[in-house]
Amino acid sequence: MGAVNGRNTHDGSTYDPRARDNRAYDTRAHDTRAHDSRSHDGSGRIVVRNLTKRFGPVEAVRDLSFTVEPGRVTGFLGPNGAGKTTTLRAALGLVIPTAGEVTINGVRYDQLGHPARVVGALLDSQGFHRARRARAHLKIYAAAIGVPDTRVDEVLTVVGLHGDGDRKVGGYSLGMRQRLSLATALLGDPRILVLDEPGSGLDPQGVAWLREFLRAFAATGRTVLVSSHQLAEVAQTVDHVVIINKGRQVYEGRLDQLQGDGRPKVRVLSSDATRLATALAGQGVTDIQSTPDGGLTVTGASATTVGDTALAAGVAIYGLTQERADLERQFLELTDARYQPGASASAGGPTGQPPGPPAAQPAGHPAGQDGPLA
Amino acid sequence: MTSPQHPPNPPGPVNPIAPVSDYQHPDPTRADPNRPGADRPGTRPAGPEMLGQFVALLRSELRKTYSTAAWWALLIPAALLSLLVNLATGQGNGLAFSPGLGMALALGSFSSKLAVVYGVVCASSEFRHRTITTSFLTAPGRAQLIVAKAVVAGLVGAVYGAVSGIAGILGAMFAGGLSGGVPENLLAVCAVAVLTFALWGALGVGVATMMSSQLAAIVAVLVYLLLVEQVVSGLVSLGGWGQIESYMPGGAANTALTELASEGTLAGTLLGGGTTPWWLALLIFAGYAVLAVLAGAAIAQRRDVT
Repeated sequence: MGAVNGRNTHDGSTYDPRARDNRAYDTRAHDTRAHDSRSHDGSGRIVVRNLTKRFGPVEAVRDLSFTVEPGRVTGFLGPNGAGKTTTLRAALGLVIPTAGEVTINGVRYDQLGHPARVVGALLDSQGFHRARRARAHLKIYAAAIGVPDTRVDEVLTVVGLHGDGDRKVGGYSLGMRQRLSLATALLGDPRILVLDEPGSGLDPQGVAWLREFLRAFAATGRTVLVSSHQLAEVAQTVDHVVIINKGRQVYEGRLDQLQGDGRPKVRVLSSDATRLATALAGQGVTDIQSTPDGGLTVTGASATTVGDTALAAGVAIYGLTQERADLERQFLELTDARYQPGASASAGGPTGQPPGPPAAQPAGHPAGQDGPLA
Repeated sequence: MTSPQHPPNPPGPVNPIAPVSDYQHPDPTRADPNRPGADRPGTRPAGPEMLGQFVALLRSELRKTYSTAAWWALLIPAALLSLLVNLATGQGNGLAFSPGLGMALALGSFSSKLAVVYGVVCASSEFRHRTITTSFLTAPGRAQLIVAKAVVAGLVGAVYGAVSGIAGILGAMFAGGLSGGVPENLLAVCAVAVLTFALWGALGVGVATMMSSQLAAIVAVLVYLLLVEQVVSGLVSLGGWGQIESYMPGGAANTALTELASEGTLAGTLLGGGTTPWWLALLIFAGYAVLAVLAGAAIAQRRDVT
């Protein structure tokens, strides 16, 4: 219903560099800060160090450590309830860690002084007073941050809401609210962007636009940390990923190295799955799983081996596909509910499914998924 | 502040993300924050800059205030109550009730409730609409934000006091109680009302910040003021432990007004006058308001914002 159709004329990057031209407010800040000893280092680096957060009996995050470097887009992935939101909110000083700390530019968020000029945050798309016009909303925070009101129009233009600035936020679509959240995050012309599930509510064009935007933002040497529970949503955007599950880190590294063990996988549909499996076992290939459609997934053997074995065994082949152990599968395995992060370390830990449906997992925060609180 | 008639869609392409001419690759040399002196070395501000940041927060809170309807929506009943009560007391019994006491009753027992409700609403709406996250993120500290909010709610409260006072004077005039001009003590009551209403607004911010639930905070404040405080002070009085009313928040605020109104008047003498002078009551009430704001700020400081 929104007037912004998510239409996108992106012929390349969409970040408007002119938005950085107006730096009158920055210059002033320079002068007053030169002689303060407790300055942050301006590195654009986010460091999570042994972060643990418990909400009552629920341990949302456990001993989590990772570093987010500037100049690239870092994806922060994990299933719902993995502790992503808790971690991001701890980084932004909204949640007080039970143990450990998160530093931005070397200091805690509350020590940044002008936090919104260093970090822009998009946490949930519900943080608006419905009766306020978008422009009024932005002016409120422009005043708090201490940037001139002209910045409001700049950020509205950047996110494509310029024509809708005088509408009440209550009439905005979810996608428009996401854009307005992003506009709010950009008000202080921050060096670091932290986004929690920014894709939710955006249409495919909006997601594509956001992807281009974040890449362009990071390409200028700035830092982007973006969380998602869907790998596909960020796979084309991020360079680096941190994957967590049940509050603990299960992977940190380049996305393209998240390829599993590199063993080939072959899916085969045959006339007699049992006979083929037996024949393969005779060849020393034992990692075989049956699939619901009556086929087999063979790990550790090439398509040639499988085909030859089938021929020798007299089994007809109806379909044979070589699969790369793809990112999505690897991600799903890492974030499977049964996956035990650091299981070897936690002797005596639960070995099966946690009792109850997935909702019983430490649900860090339902933020952004609650209905609007009217 | 905004032009409401702005067309939702400007002519030309239907809301492109940005005009095509704006689409440029960010110039790495220009936007590269790693180049010398490019990015702002951030520091924890001190001294004059902290003051500047507080002023920025005040501006932000003022903008929050006038961009929604709450401030005038609650001001209307405050003014109406004052007008009607003064009209009624002025007409009802001109001899027993001095205009000043009528005014003290109207402002203290009726209109002031809306000032405290305004304070509660303006703070708790941040939690209700979840704007508190952005407000905390853009403020140098949570305590500063709460204090700025209390100051601005205090300003709005002062406006409530002034407008309610003027409405009350009009009411008394219509009732024919002010034929001899506006008595001095009536004006004094109005002036002190501006102060107490300001404190009520700030106190409301403190209470709402402690509780964070809008409905709960409004109900708690009203139930306390209209019921709990009366019952407690009544029981204490019945038990022979003395008069504590003027030492409790609502009672202290009312005492400041009624004592001032009854000073040197026949009605005041007849009613026996309290033992607490108006200025002491006002100080006690100010203490409660400051306490509420500080407690709210302290609690906000420790609370997880989820």
